[in-house]
Amino acid sequence: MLEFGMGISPKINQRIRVFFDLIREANIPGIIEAAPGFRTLLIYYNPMLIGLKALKEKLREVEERIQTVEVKPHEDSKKVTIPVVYGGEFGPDLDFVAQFHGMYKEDLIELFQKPEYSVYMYGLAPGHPLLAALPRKITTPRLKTPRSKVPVGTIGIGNRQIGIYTHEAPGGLQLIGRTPLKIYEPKRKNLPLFLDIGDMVKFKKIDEEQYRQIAQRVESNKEDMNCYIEG
Amino acid sequence: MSTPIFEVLKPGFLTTVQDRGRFYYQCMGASLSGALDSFSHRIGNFLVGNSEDAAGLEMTVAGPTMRILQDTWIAITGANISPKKDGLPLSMWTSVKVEEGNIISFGPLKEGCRGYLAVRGGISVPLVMGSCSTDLRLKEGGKEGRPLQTGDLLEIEPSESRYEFIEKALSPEWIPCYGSNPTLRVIMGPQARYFDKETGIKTFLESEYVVTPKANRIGYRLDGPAILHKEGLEASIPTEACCPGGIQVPEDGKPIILMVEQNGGGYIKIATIISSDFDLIAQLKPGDKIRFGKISVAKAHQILKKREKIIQRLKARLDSTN
Repeated sequence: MLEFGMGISPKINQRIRVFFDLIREANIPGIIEAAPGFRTLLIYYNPMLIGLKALKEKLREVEERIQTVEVKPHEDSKKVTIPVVYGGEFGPDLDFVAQFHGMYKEDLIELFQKPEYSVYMYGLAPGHPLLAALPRKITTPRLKTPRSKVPVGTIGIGNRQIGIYTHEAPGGLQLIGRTPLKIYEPKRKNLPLFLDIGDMVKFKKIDEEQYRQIAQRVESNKEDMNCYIEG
Repeated sequence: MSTPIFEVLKPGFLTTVQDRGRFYYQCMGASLSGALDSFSHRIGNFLVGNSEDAAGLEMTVAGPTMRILQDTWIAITGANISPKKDGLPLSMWTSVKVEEGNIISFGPLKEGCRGYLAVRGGISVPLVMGSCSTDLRLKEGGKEGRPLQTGDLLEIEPSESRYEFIEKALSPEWIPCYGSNPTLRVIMGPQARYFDKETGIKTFLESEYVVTPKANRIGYRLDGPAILHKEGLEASIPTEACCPGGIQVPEDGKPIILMVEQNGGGYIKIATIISSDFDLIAQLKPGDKIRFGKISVAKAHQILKKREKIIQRLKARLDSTN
């Protein structure tokens, strides 16, 4: 496990992405695969093919090369607006989160919707985006015990991170709302993975009626994902 | 064209199609999946003359009942779930000839938790991200992303030499014994420094932990003395990718062993079980007890090299009896 810093910052994440690309390019015998996190890069290696000392040397070489590469945001990153229904059955933890911060739900939602969040990594499932960073005022701890099932489309928060569930799966985030969009749809020709690492995301409140209408169009594959992309 | 080989009459408790796992896609958010007990899976494949990458069945606690639809060879390895052919006991860790119409069934679980069934040629299912493995958490891969159910037909790739083959057996000295209270060897980290020396690290290394009923291919939740992190530090960190065998400790101090269907998380990990001992977890069931023993990375590499040498030797021996 390689660490690139302690907190969540776009700079750290960009460095990880460049390092990840360089490792793939270098094609080092014995390195099986690598997986980026917010501030780490997990590397799988086969000790039958590369010893720890040689591995460290190779990684140090990559680290030296990264100094000569310009680390900057990705050029084709897009800006996206995602519609969300908050609270109720769509976001069962919204009440708890509002209470936790001593806020009205409406104020919490407004604070949540203010910033533009950046996609840092895929986690949990193929194409499942993890975003950051929540404003400090509404930073909320993860659940003490993870839930065993979270529905597709649910928006969850934990510490300064936001996750959008692309698969029905267990999860430890506080669930505040749900989007009718399918962020991951392998059968969709245009943008099967709707969000790329580096994309910028804003959330926009919709009501249950709008949710149902969009969900219906998504279900029958009639929703044009391009209309959620800016420009 | 692949052809049907097994008709599932009863699915057993939880039977899935697995190969060695889904490599190279964790960066996209995929999980590794694959046979939990890799030794049993690989040896099973060698016994029927397959490559170690071929897909077979992983059977949990109670095995399936299946009708054989064409003559072939199979091998049953891993946990002893009292395998039978037409009602008569079937040898394990050896290749067995089966004929059209034979019924393969299983009885009581005698030892371990997960049995494996390999078939000559390997089970054929559509590849998902390069692998035949079933990911039950994401409902992808294997047989329609789910455990086998009654009425399923499983297929194999046709091969000319399916029937001309001779019986092979693993020498008894290499057949594993599955204890119900193993010591699993660990490398400390990646977040060992978050834990208190006494109430965290020492508690972890000197206590016994029980496997709870919440133990599956995603994770094994353990119960035992709470492992405490340093005061003033939080139990959660920014999400990162994780590997099978990682031991995460959420706020309640009860450790969870991460298994093959987990690919990331944001709870701190005190230690990682060495890959050579990972198979032992596959054979643990609720109520079994675990202890952890700390070793160095160098030692772990040594153990892995020795183990791989043995497996390669066993493979060579089985291949040469052709």
